[in-house]
Amino acid sequence: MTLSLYDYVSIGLQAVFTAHPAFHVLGVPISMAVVMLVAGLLTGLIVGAIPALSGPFAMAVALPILISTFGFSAAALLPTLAFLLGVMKAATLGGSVPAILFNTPGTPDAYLTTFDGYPMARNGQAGKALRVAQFACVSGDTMSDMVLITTAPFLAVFVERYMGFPEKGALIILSMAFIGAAVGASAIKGLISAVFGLFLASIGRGDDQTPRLTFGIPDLANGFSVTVAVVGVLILGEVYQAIEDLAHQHRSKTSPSPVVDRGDQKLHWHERLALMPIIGRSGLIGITVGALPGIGSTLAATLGYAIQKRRHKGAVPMGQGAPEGIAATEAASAAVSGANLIPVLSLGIPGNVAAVFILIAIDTIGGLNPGPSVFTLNQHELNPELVMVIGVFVIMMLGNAINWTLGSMLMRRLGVLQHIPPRIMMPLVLVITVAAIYLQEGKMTSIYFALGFGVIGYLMRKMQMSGLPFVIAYILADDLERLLRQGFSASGADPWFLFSSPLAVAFLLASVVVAFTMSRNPIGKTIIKNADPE
Amino acid sequence: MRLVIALAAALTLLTTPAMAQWKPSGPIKMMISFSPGGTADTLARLIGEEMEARAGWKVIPETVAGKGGNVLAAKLKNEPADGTSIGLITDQIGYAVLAEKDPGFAPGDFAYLTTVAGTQTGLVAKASKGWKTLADVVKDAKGGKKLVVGALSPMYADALYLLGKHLKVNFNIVNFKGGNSVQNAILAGDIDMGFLAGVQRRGVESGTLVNIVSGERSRLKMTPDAPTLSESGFPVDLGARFLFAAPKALKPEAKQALTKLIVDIVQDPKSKAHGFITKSLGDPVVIQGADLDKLIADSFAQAKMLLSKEGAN
Amino acid sequence: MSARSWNLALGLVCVAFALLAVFVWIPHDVSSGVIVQERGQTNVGDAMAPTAWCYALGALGLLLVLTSWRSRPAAKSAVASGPRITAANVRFLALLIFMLVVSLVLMRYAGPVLVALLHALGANVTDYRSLRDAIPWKYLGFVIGGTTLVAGLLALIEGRIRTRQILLALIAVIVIALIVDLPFKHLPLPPNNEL
Repeated sequence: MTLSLYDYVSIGLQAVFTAHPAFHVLGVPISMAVVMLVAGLLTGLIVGAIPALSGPFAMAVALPILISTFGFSAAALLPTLAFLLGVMKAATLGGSVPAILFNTPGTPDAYLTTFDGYPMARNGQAGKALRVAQFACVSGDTMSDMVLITTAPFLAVFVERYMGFPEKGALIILSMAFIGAAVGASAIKGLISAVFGLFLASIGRGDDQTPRLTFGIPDLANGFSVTVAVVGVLILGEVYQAIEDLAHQHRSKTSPSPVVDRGDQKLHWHERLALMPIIGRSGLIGITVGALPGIGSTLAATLGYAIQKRRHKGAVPMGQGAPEGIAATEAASAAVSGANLIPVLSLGIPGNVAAVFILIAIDTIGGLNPGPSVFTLNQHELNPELVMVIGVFVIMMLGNAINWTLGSMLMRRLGVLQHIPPRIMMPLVLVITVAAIYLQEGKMTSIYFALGFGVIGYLMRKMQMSGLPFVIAYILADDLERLLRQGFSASGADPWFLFSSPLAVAFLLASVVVAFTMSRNPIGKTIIKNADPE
Repeated sequence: MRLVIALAAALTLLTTPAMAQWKPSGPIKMMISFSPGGTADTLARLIGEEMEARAGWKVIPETVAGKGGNVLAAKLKNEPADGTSIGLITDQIGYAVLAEKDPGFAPGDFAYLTTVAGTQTGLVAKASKGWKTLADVVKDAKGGKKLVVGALSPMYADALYLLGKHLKVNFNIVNFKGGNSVQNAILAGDIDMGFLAGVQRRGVESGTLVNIVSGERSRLKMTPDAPTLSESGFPVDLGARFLFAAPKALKPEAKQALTKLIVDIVQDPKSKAHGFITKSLGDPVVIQGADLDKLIADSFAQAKMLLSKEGAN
Repeated sequence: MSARSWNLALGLVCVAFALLAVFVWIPHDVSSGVIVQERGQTNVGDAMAPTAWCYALGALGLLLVLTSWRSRPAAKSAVASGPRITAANVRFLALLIFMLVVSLVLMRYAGPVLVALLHALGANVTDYRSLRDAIPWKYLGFVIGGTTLVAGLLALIEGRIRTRQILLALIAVIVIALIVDLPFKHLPLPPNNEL
């Protein structure tokens, strides 16, 4: 038996479309993965369109429920990832809806979409604005996915060929230095956040039979679970903050006047063609930003919009309802998501919040170890990991196709979600999160810990420290420590083993340079200022 | 022959009413000391499902992982001893108990029901190394090459250290957590070899990995040619047997009913649990009663030897 | 306090935490050392990583102290957007934690206490443990605790307590309980897994 790439692709297609049918329509099996993808897309559109919620929220709550539903078998991975990827893809799309219709961004990235989107809607062009947003969003997303599919395999194979214990360890240090320094208001605080994450992650884990730093609490013998720490700091911290804001906010909000459509709402092919160069440019910006860990879609959107503003030659000035403004923003922020999975799939290093949940899903379910083994084209025996990754790629492209075709139809209907009051939403999110954590962990202590991590996340927000470096460091800490300990043992206790290869030294030098320049030079300052608060 | 069948039938008739009399007072909690999704966890859940289907008792699996089973054991000790709490551990618990200063329980705190299956532990290296026997390994190691070996838990590290002493070669022992990470390191070439408890099956069958020796008491199902460690003059048993335990004060009728149900399930070729065992773990291993008590005692004796870092020869 | 002093305080907290961990917590709660001799070789012990991270935390904290010490006080307008924890924040957090604690205590103990009470009153119930998979008992804790939490937070947000909030919370939590419970036969609602 020899297996070619063609065979792998066809097996991957089968895994997505025909394996594990959920039900049959006219005798045609509809697979669980496809069902979950559609469910994820709908969920993403909805949470994106609700101003108080965002994609990561839905991913965080859904993850434990998905894992409880599908279990840990190899067959569980595709449906679970399909849902999460669907949410990730559609949330950006959904976020533009209230931005255009009501001048309230549904997600942070959509803030810049209000600049031109709402004026367009007030001029009676709401339908057209939504179509521009959809066109730009899906194009940027598709571009980004293609870059992911073509780059990740080569990067992963490079890693296998040239990297051992010290190089892999040094690479994790480099990415954490980058994330710590690049995210949030201050490089030092970002690094503190990362190091604090590393320290808390060392609780319970370790090699000794007696687990370390647990105060003798048995439920800590394996440390705080990753879900508990991540959901606590990122999601519950945000929920607490939102509840406080709601409590302080006096309900003096005036609802914006309803928009009325006037004239032609179609986006014609010549108009689409005219937008293509803008989308292409913004897409490239988004991809570049997305492939670097830590600096997320808000920066991409800002850069995309700013460059378009400088070059704008359209009939309508930017800021007064120019479709180009919407396209530049949406394409850039959408293009981040696919590229963000490049480091996830090739190195196991997540770059933004959405990628964090994708990686947790992969780690928890098992069967797919991000890294070189995923992309090995075994010719004699099927490499199930490669099939799985091809399945993931297929799902991503299928998600784009669904967004292309059905997106605009659904987007207009999402306007009603504006009326769900966040004051009811937030307490319910809290209770659902509590239930979801218990489903996965089965322990009251896990709920207590998660709520405690929420307090940490809340306080970090108050101190203007980003939770993202904390979370990413928390996820990578175990790997990092293990690689360094193993490298030390394998080298026969050479204290300088980390500096034994030029590549490792280069990574370590780069970490110092990154941390230093990010906080000093003006470009670094801009990046820091515009980087995601999350 | 007919007499035997008749006797067996009579015995069944005699035991069945006693069986039927015992019924758990509520749902049964099945604690599992392994992380979700792994082989042992899947095995326990399949047995639980089948228990529900056959006896109509509700069985709720619960993961209680940590400290090589010590967290579960410490918790199980204080559970109600009415048959509504059982736990899946391994007979390697002896090592975990002796390695920890104060585990909070003693081996006598439990009623051991039955083992259900065992591991398929082998010393594994990449086939491309060209090693077929321990002698090949020794030859390379004596040639001045420092061998880097991986241990999936501290117990295996101790065993590798003693094995090195026994073979008169020096290993660089690298600690890992779990078999998958050891296997990945072997495949990536980061380490030369290591003990794996069954995950190597796919690699061995496809020819990328080889079992050099069996770490079990018997030879491996997937590589019957490889001798055991004992046959190689190093009488150490690195295999693990998965077993169910309950709090010590468990009533005999509850113990009997639970044990019989579990044994029936794993020995029934039609059950999912049996299918899973033969696919991933070799064959069902059913050890009960005094034999099981001896197994636990052996585990403690060997753990003492491993932890003393002397012995073995 | 200005943004500068809040950063200063944060830096000092980091340094204090690092010192406490390195000199008290780690030595008392890690069973091996930073470097260990085992099985004839030198290995990194379990204390190495936490100690190293604490050194890094202490150093970064010190750096934060030094940089905010040297920075000029920000303009008045910048204070509002800078890092700070106000008295109002502390009050909110205290109230939130209080509500969380009350609801979780109810979630954990409402079922067992109620059953014990009924038992004492002579009702035909044994103990909560054997009823934890039976309707309606299994929903008791989650619904009572969850409703308390949602209604409490609604009252906190709206600044007053109304019957409508409690009713709304009760219905919403029952719906959540059913959605979470019905598809998962083997995954009990809190707190039924560990009793």
